[in-house]
Amino acid sequence: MNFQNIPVLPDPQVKKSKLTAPRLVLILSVALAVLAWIYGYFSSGTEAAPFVAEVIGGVSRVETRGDLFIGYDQDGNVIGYAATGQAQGYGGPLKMLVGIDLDGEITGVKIVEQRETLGFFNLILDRDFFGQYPGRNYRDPLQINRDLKAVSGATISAEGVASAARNAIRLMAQEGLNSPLPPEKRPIQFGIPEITLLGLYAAGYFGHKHRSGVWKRRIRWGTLLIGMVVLGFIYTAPLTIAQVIALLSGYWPDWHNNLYWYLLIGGILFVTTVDAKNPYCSWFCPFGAFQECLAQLTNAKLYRPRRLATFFTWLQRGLAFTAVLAGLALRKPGIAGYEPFATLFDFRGNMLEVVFLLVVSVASLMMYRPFCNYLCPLDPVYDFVAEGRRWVREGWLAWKKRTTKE
Amino acid sequence: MEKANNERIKEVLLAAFVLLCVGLIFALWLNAFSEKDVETPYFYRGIPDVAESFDATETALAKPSVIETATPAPSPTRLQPTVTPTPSATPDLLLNFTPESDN
Repeated sequence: MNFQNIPVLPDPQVKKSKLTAPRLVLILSVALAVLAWIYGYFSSGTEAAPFVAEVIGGVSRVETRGDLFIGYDQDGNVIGYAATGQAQGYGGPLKMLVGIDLDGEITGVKIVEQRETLGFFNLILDRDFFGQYPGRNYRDPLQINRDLKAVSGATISAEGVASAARNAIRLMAQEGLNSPLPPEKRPIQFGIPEITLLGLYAAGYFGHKHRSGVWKRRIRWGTLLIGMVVLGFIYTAPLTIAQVIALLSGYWPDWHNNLYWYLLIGGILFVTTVDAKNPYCSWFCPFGAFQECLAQLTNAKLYRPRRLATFFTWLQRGLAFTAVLAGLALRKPGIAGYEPFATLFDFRGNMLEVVFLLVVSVASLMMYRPFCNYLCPLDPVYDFVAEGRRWVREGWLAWKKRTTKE
Repeated sequence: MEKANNERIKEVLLAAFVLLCVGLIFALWLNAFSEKDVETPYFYRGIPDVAESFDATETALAKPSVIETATPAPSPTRLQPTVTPTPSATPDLLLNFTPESDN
């Protein structure tokens, strides 16, 4: 397929391991990314103590014991406790402050720190997700789909909030109320998206190996359409640069609730590293499938003039690199993502995002996968991994050759 | 000649598309970076009754002795809602009840 054969990096069959220009850029990129990460790590963090009065009423003095806050009234009596709990959301750690009174009733909640994509966070605010907490007892399950309503379209963010709140409550139950809660059962979430993803990996693998061109094409169209409908329109769960930045930032969500995240990122990294193949883009990327469907309407072909190819390649890499640096430095993986995935699959976005989607859609009628070929920030990530893999492999082969001679 | 012209037009159109998209991406970034963090509202069961004397800067690390001598933690029986009625907002507060969660 044309899409896979675009020459982006030097010939992989290089005999000697050389410090070529792309590799020099690779080293510099890693160095800059590490610096951005260090800057972000030391510049983040919010103090929760000033907000305690917002979650425990009538408090006139607060004392701090680690993550636990003890609220006193004017007479010096303890009137409640507050604690912060942390969990992984979609964009990184969420810190939630929860207050309870001496009867174990939740008095108030407040998000102290969050890195969610604005759209997701607004969605859980609009659906009044936080309003479900005040008045509940600390012994309540406080789990989504049990006693908390889910937020469709911001599932991971809502799960992160619920989990952070439970962590805060557990701390207060143990250290404040002296009434520890039993260990939390965390069932592994394995459903339709996970099964679909595994099926798509398997179909992509066998389709890729299939000798018959016709069958290969049919299987590929099958995986593309399933990817677009299930991973795109139904679950809005395509791979995004925000997930890559979250991975680099160390914001790894709880695997019990986010097995899909691990299967998606881990699977792609595994196949790209071991087999040097990108299993996602050409086989089941939902947005790639959308562009291909549009291209089918007009029989649009790949257009990549040689004269401008290098310029466009480095422009695309520059955009991706800027997004990664910004995400790492600000510790907000979603802040610089520009993929129009949510606008298309979740019908969500501002005017600029809608215009961007329209421009890409119109261009898709004229050429094959314009977003993938010129703008997508994930393509440079694959190049980056592939280049690193090639470098390691060359070094390993050279070392092997040397030791055999000796 | 005509082929070369066509090729040139296609290249210009492609460059225009890419530059337009890059412009839109920069506009999206400007929008995202200039956007203030969402106010992190609090959700309280009534209007939080914050004492006027409350000063968050006065928070201090609790000494174990202070915690021990403070009002003792409730026993499990006290935690049963049937035993101790749930404290609620005062009637005055209820009259002016405008929960934050009703947004």
